[in-house]
Amino acid sequence: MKPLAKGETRVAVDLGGPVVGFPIPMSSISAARGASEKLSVFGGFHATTLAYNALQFDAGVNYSLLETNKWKPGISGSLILNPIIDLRVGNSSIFPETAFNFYWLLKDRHVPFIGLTNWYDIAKGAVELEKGKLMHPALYLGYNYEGAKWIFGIEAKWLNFNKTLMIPQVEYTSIGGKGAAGVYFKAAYRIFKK
Amino acid sequence: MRAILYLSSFFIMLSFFSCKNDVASALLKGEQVEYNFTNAELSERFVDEGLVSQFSLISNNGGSEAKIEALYIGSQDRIKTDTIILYLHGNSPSMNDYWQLTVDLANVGGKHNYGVMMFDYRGFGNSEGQSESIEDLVADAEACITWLEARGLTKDRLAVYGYSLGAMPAAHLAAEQSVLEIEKVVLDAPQTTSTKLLQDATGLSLSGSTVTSFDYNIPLVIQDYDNYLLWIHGTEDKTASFENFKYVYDRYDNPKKSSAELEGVGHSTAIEMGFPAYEALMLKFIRQ
Repeated sequence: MKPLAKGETRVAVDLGGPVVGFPIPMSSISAARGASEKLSVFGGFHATTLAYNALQFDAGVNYSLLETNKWKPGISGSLILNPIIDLRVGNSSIFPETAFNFYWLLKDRHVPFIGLTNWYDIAKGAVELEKGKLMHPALYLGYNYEGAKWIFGIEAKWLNFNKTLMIPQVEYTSIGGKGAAGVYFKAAYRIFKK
Repeated sequence: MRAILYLSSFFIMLSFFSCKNDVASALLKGEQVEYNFTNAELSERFVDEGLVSQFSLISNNGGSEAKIEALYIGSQDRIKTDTIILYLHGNSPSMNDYWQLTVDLANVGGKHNYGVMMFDYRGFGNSEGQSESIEDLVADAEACITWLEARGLTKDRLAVYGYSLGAMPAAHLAAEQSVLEIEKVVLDAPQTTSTKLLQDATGLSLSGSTVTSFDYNIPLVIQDYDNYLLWIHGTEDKTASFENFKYVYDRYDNPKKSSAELEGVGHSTAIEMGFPAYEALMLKFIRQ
């Protein structure tokens, strides 16, 4: 999203997921820090995944490519790694991710944003019955309210829009029969800002 | 700093208290019911209610015992001579949801032509315990075969029919050492593997063990089965992928395999294809 100011540190809680009548409450806790005027680093831990006996983390960087100016969007790019370790038998996977974010800063506190993210399944050959795919994109659209200390956000995602998913006995929301729609909520707290 | 402490505490508690979650326990949806196996519950094709018996059995999975509820349609005195279909039901709360389907099987080829046995897996219907593994489901089916064998059933007159969830234990039962060797098995609307289920839901190359310890693998186990197998599947099935099992079936090397690939049909195969076509399919398979 919008890169952090240099020296700024945030902790955040995210809650949400694919909509199956209600958003699956996938939750994560994360921290981010503005390493320079253009570069932020961040990392997160997924609590709900741990509740199902798997460790999931994410760690990455976000780089400002273009500053926002009034109605002209700011653009940033992210590189992220998403490791998942299954604690039942010890299988592990890692999914690199890239994202391009377009955001606006309105009245110094309203931050609408859109973007495109993509998970890369570099082990796609491990998908059974020879049906693996490298690209797992998602489109997202959201809004953050950025107060002096607290930041609150809501985001809608169209996950895996390049494929038809099959989730037995669950009524999930797809768009045109492709992918799944998700809704996410965020609360973040600024520990300090330089 | 207080905010960080609150947030951290929340997540640590969430993780600690829910670390034994398993997707299978959410998906295996049994519930207690009042059994009602009467003609009043049927809309077409009926039974002689005097030939319907509902009773309990003890199932034992390696020392883990559970009292399970079972149903037999037909004369128990004729188990020593009748062809018997053991029906392993799908992932609905209880046997009640499959009453008409099992009555239909009993009426294939004429009224009460075949004996039909059905049961509730542990944790389903009024069966005790909780189904936590494929071995639990297989053990419950084995308990039924043991009951039938004790009343004179021989392997040449047994057909095992697994619908949807039931296809998992049916395939495992057929391929593994059973009380009676399985010579005929029907896999109706089957899944393939627990891993493929998760991969179809996420699109990613994740192992099924990421979210569940309920591990099954039909493509693998049927390699050890070389008797008669009938695969029934609707091309429009939104619960168990037709394409997935088609891939498995096409690579399954067994001259005794056959299939009914039902164009335009969804997950409720027997209902959607209509009784005359279903009856003809079952007669052809059982009589071979």
